[in-house]
Amino acid sequence: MTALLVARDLTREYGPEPVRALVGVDLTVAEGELLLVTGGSGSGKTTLLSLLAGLDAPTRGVVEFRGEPLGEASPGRRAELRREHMGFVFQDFRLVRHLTARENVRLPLLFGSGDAARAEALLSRVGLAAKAARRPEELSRGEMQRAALARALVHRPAVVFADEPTASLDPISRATVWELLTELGREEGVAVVAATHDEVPAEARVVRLHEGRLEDA
Amino acid sequence: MKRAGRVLAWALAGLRYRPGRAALAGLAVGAATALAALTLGFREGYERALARNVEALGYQVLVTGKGCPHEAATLLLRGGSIPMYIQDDVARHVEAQPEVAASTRFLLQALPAQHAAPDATQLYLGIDEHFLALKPGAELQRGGWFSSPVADEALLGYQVAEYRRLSVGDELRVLGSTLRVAGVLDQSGTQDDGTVFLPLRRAQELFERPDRVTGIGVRLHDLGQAAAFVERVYDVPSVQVVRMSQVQETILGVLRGVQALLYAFAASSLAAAALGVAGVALLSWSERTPELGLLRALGCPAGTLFRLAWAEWLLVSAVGVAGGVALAFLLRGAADAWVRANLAFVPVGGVIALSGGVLLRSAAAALAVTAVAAALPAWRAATRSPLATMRGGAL
Repeated sequence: MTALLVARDLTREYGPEPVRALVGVDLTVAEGELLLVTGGSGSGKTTLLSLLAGLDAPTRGVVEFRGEPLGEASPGRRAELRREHMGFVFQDFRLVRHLTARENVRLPLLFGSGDAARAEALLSRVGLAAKAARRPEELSRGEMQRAALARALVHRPAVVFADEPTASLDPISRATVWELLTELGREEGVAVVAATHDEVPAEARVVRLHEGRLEDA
Repeated sequence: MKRAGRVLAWALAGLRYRPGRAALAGLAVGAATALAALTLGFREGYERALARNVEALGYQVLVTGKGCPHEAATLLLRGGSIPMYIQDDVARHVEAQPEVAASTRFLLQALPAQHAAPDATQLYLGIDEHFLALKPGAELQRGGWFSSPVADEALLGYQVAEYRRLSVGDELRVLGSTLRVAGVLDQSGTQDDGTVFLPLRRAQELFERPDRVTGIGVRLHDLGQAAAFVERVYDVPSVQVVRMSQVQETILGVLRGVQALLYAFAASSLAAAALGVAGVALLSWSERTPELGLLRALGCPAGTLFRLAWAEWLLVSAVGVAGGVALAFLLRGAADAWVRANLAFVPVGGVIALSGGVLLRSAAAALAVTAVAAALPAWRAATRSPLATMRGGAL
């Protein structure tokens, strides 16, 4: 399989007396792969996702996206890579509260590729066509996360980073979101890198972080 | 084009975030725009009205008895008795000067007005046969000229006829004499509309000023001869002479102090509106930090984010400016009344001219100032680190 993301010796330290959030992580994510990163709170899952997405820079080590080292790319180029090739799903949904579900899904179209028809199709696909004109406060938490999922996919990214996407949801909504994430990932050929505490879908590859180091799952 | 539409849609949607706050900022911009428009409109309107009033006199030079010629000219424009007179022989001497193309003699008197406010006066102007010919566009609306230079007749200004409901053939009493209305003048938008005109000689009898006139209006063959004419007439001991352009300049010179004050006030209100927009936008973007972080995380370039953040407050400013223009029209009457109540001399006719140029200049100034003010918060919003702003809390 072709490597989409490659991380080598990835280390991230914070503060003047360095606290190590991530230590020497080597990891490869293939195109279209579903990769779950598990581990307890503070194990470095969010840090790993931020580094892989180019939102943060490592203290040491390298992240390559399709062979292009993110550390050598300018902030503008990293933004371009996120805009064109990456989607994001957050634990707390991060929907803009004064925008409707439809407007939230269309948010990446403000500055990236994609079209309104694709946004409508995804709203239908996640079961929100009838509630597209509602604002986040008028949606359930599960519906909010489904809207966030549609937003992550609207510009046809190569990879979706999902940081504990089901942690704030009830069990039924969790199942729905995982189902959509895996199905849509497969249908669209999108790699999914998700940090989670949940029981994981059968087809996923799982890696486990413990105190910033990668362990065998 | 499609992208511009999306930016506009985003800016419109952004107004749903605390709409009351955006409305207040827009209101401040609107008030400042209206004030700027009224101030600029006052300058243009006053100058235009004054020029129209002077032009309507029909002569370029005014010759009056000794005293302050500017005061005499202002009284003439505003209406009021000028207690200075020119004798008949002196008047003939003035009229005989080679630069004079045409001239008209007049006697101006004011009497307490009947059926009006206690301090109101009615102006009476004794005029000769050249009076109407000198006035550009002046015509009788109905009736005709006096039947003789000593007839017990009057011509009425348009407003006098309207207000006192008098028409041709009706009678009016002046100082115990009964005068018949011979004609009514067309509306001129000047002091003439409120004046009763009498034949000069009859007026001299009536007001007991035989062979005397208040002034002589002179039109020269060539305006370039004005200096020579003024110099020659200056030597006549009992008269003084002033060019109407000088009067205009003197009045405008006095007005400039008031205008400077109003400009300062308008500029202060524009600055306050700009500060308001900047403050509200900074507060808004500070509250919406996580939203900015989200856009940065999704890959929004800093330049685009600047435009998005800027567009939102430009829209508020633009709506405010449009409202301000409408407000200026609404307040024009009140502003005109304020000017009349507070300035010593105000020409007849509207003195607040909200022309296209005035509105364009006011709108452009308000937009420019608020655009600059909104740029700072937009720049701050655009240059935040995506990760730091992502950690700014719930959206």
